[in-house]
Amino acid sequence: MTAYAWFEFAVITALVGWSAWTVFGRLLPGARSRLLRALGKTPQPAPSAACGSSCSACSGCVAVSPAAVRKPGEAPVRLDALR
Amino acid sequence: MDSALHIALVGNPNSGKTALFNRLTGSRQKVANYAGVTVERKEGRFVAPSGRHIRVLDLPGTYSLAATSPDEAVTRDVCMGRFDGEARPDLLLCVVDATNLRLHLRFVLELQQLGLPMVLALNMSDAAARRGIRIDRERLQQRLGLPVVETVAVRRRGTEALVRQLDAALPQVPPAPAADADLHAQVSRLLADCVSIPSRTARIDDALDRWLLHPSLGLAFLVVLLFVMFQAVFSWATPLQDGIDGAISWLGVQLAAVLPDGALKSLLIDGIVAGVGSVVVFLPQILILFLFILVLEESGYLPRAAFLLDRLMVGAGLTGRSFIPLLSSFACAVPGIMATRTIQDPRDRLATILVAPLMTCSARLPVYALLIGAFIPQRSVAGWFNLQGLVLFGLYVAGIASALLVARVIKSRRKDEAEHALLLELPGYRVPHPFDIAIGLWERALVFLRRVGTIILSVTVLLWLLSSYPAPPPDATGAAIEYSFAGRIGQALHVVFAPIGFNWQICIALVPGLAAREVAVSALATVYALSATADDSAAQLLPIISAQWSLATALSLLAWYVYAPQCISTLAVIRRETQSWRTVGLAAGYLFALAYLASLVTYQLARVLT
Repeated sequence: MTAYAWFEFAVITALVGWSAWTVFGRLLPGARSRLLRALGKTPQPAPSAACGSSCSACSGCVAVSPAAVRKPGEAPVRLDALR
Repeated sequence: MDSALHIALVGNPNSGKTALFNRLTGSRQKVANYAGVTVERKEGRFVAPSGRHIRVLDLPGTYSLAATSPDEAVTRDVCMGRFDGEARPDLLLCVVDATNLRLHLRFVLELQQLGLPMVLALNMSDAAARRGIRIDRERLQQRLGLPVVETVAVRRRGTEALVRQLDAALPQVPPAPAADADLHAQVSRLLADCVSIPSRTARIDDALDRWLLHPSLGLAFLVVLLFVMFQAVFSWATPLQDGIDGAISWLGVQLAAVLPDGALKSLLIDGIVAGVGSVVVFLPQILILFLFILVLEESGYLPRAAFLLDRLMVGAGLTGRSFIPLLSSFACAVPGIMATRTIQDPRDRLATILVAPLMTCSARLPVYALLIGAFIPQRSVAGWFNLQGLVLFGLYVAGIASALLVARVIKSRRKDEAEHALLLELPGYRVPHPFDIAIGLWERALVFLRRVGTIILSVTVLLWLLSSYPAPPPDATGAAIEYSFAGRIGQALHVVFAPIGFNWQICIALVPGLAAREVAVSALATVYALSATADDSAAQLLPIISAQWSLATALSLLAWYVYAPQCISTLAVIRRETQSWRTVGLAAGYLFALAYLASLVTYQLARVLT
């Protein structure tokens, strides 16, 4: 392999690896956090820590600490309510 | 153990708590001129001049500690030390609107009954002074028995004095009114002693409200306003879009000239430049949309619009309180669904959650703009209106009308059809500050570009990989992508989507488009770039689809995007708010079914008519 072919391989591998990690984190944020913890690393709070949805579209979640994450079971509304 | 001083920001809705929280902690939480922006507690920290660490909780606004909605329950529980995992605050920082003390002081007296040290921030003191309201701060301080500081949170005024007060020793617990005391009578006495209010305040507000809240003129103004907004999205954006488009094309040409043929060249030009570039060009349109939304938020007009539409909402089975969550959903359904926590009735709240994804979020805009730009001619109608803007307006109206219809169906299935009156506080009108609007737009641009640089770029790279491998066999006759993993997935899905006019390239784009709606645009650009053979394939998606698709296919895809829940985040937040996979299944099921049905009808009708 030529030097350029090695370079090409390295850049593509790095980009694909980063992309897979990013998409994994978006689609399965809980699984990624668990994986990081299993590897002995502390997961960084996602920018969407406030709503936990990873959308980052409303900017209402910037600079929020993990303590602000809403706990499961906090005021859920159920389908049965429609009856 | 955390030794920081623990402060909770409390007060009535729209008193400026979050603006003050942002000033104290350097955060950038969303603020707007209407009640109910904050629906859950937010935490921030800062270090006072003495070196003392201070932890601040921003709590949802409430009129009373007798909570009636989930967001108000959070405030009540934190203040009373009943919130799971949250210690009782050391100090309450109560924020009141100095222009509306008659309402806000009642809550101050109620908070005094909690027996916690408290500091009072007289916020919006500049607006009070402009209206001729004179507050004897020292006398109020004496009467309430707690420190009172004047602030203007949105202009930074008074923040230093407030920090000095918070940095000092904890104030004494203020004397509490008796449990059976008449708080309204006490407020009246306080106002008589400490505040001078001119007999006629807010004349301009009253004059504006006579027109803007008029049952017919007010509605007409609202319709014209929305109409102008969508016209502007197309008319104003064109020069900026052309500039960005030119820069992206230039970048593609430069890369093609310097890079040798190979996988990296294909990834950069067909994948990243074509895919990501096709989404970046819609930045001007998104910013114009948000310019209008920010101005309306700041001005205080939005709660008036909620008031005007209350009858329509109730007729459709919703409540006037659904208006703000549904309006938030025009930016993104996620905060919109979260904002439903301000709705007390669980049935109304659930109905609002189920219809919020039908509001046209900003992520749909790139898809709409691409298809409208490719298939709708840019010409004026009746000499005034831009046809493309009219079609965009129509798509927004289709989303709204569908949401109202679905809400009506949900209501018809409810055994209890009780309706709830809308009680809404109308804030004073404010002239939006250009600097605040500019900051808001800058933040929106950063959010959009961050989204482009993370999720859209990463999905595009993965799609390029799936569209490029495995390599075609030596005797292949079609384009290489047809033999790739993505090509095979697209052809398999084509069986399902052929009746609604989608080709296999669209079918490929729908899959990554589940991560975020606008990813469909970058995915289409990548797929078509890889299907082409020329080096300039990264140039533009728009002319390619306008040449290769029929009008019926384009209209069918537009109909699909009006309804389809192509957004994992929206489904995730529905799950979180309802704690029920069944509700997620119901929402996704009915929205996908509506999307397929609408596309089928649109495609078949368009084929007959064109």
